[in-house]
Amino acid sequence: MRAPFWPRQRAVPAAAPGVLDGADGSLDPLDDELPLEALEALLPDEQSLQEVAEQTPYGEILLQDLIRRQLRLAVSVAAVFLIVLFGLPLMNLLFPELMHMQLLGLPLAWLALAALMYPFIWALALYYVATSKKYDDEFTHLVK
Amino acid sequence: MDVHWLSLAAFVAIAVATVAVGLFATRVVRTTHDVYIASRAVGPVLNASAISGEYLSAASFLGVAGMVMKFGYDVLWYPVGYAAGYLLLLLFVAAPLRRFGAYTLPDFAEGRFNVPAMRRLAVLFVLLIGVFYMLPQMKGAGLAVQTVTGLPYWVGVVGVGGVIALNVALGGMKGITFVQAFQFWVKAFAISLPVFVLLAVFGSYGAHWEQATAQPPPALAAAIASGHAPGANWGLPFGPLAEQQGHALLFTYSLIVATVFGTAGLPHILVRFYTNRDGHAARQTTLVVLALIGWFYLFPPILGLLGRVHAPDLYVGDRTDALLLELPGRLPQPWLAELLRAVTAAGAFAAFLSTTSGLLVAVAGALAHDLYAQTFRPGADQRERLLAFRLAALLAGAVAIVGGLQMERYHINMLVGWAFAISASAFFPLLVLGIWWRGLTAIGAAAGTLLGGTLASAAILYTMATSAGEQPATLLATLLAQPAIWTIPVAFGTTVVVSLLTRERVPPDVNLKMLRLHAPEALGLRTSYLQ
Repeated sequence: MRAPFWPRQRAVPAAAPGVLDGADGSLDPLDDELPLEALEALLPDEQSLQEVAEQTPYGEILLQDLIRRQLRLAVSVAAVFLIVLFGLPLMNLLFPELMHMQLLGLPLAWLALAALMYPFIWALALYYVATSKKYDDEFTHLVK
Repeated sequence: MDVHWLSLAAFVAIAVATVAVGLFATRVVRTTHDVYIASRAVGPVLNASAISGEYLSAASFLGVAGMVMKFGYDVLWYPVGYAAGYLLLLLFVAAPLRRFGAYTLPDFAEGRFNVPAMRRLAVLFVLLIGVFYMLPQMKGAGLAVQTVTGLPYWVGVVGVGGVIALNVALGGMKGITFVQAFQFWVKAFAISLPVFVLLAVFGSYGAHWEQATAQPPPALAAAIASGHAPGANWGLPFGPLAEQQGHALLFTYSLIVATVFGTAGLPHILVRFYTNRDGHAARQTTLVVLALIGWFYLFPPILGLLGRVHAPDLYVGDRTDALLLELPGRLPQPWLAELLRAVTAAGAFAAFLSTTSGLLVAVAGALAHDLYAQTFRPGADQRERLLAFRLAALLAGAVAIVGGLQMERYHINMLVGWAFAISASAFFPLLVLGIWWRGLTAIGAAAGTLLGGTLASAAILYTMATSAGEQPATLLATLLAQPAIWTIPVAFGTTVVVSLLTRERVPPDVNLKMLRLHAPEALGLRTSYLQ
């Protein structure tokens, strides 16, 4: 299998049997001091990953369900945002009196686009991050 | 010519600090490789600072304020789009891409289908977007050196381009995380301090609004009367920019589409998402990025407004891109003016250093890794690869310099908007469908990427060749000047239709790919791509 990242690593030396076996928890994959070769030995190859995927009862269905839930969440948040974003030019076009109304010395249209938009985007992002984490955790709990 | 010595010193200080931080990190880290593995421990705040540092380019630092001053309300869509792009990146791309474990966009393109040709196709557009994005940075560099020292435009382009190319060629990616994080905070400081000082000296946001629109001061009134500055419609939607393009609503929508969907496909930004610890950390990083750049973008519109009131002479001669460097000079206290000028000069310098370095690394990496090492010379050893990377960095730097010299007449921000349009058309459909749709085939993805990317590039090159973006107000001209609104649907549509037609060629291991993309790390499947 070709190494698909940059830069190309040196050839992995053959690991001594047992030494790099992370199954007993002797090696922490996130340990920064760990040499790369050891880290790679901890990673399952395509084959074993496939087995894990197939061995898990209902794993396939659960994963599909997770993807569907995450996608539904992402699409809903995106929809709320895009409706507001694409609605603003329409509001400007259709209700100029409203959008030219002065608030804090600035017209509403300017205030909305130059300032209020940013906290709005951030709030949506915050909601998404919390909810998607919840979905991930529920999935992990079900499969394990 | 009056030379602003303090600003010149700020330039030099930022350049020296950048090289020093880079060199220091190089000593800490043994190989480029270690950077990535160690980077897994990089927390969201440092990582987000680095991403924001790379992202906030000359376009955001100089361009947005200058364009707000020149065109008013319609330009506010640019920063909103630049920021909102991260929301879409967060929703559809960030966590799955991290979980997939690809290093670069071409890695993902090949890895998703196990088709090497997809890598080459992706590289093509990585190079195109990279070069397109570098040109406005070069213009910013030329402009900044010109404004601060009085030297000709080309001195800045050649000087800055040369220094960065050499720096990247020698230092590579090492330590770039720290350098760019550092440069974000320089930029954030340099754009917010002038606003606070200027508002404290000259009066409130609202008072300036009155002067910019209802009661223009004499100098501004003269600029409006002579036709150099836009009049009362400056502060209103569908003002001078959209008017110049004719179909105002269509132009506005296409601009929004390009910037919002373009961010999620920018190759040099996506690279950074791999450095997160896991998928959830990638999401948290994006959340912090949104906070950082949302804060940053509050300031350019205020500066544009201040510029309209206090520096209307910039309208004459079309020098609004230099607004941020000129505005401090309008303060009544000379010492304060010099000090603030040095601060904004430092920020501008940090802006093109960080973005250009990041782009050069992405472009040189695409040439040296994806083309040379993966395609032409798979047997090349470490030394040859390193040499290839260095030559590629110098070559890309040379292209940027030569291109940058031709860019004086284009607006910094408009050029960046075009890079976003290409990225949105070529990569956004590939990423979204590749991550979420099982039915995608390599042929479908290739067709969509090729068609979307080519159409967007051709439309933009045509617009650039025929004019400096000032088009006759026909529907066709507007569609060519801002192509994202039709090229993205074309790319999506082509990808889906061709994939459905080649249904039997869906990769047999697509379930495994989906598992990699979406399974949380807590499962214990280390879905890394590091075999």
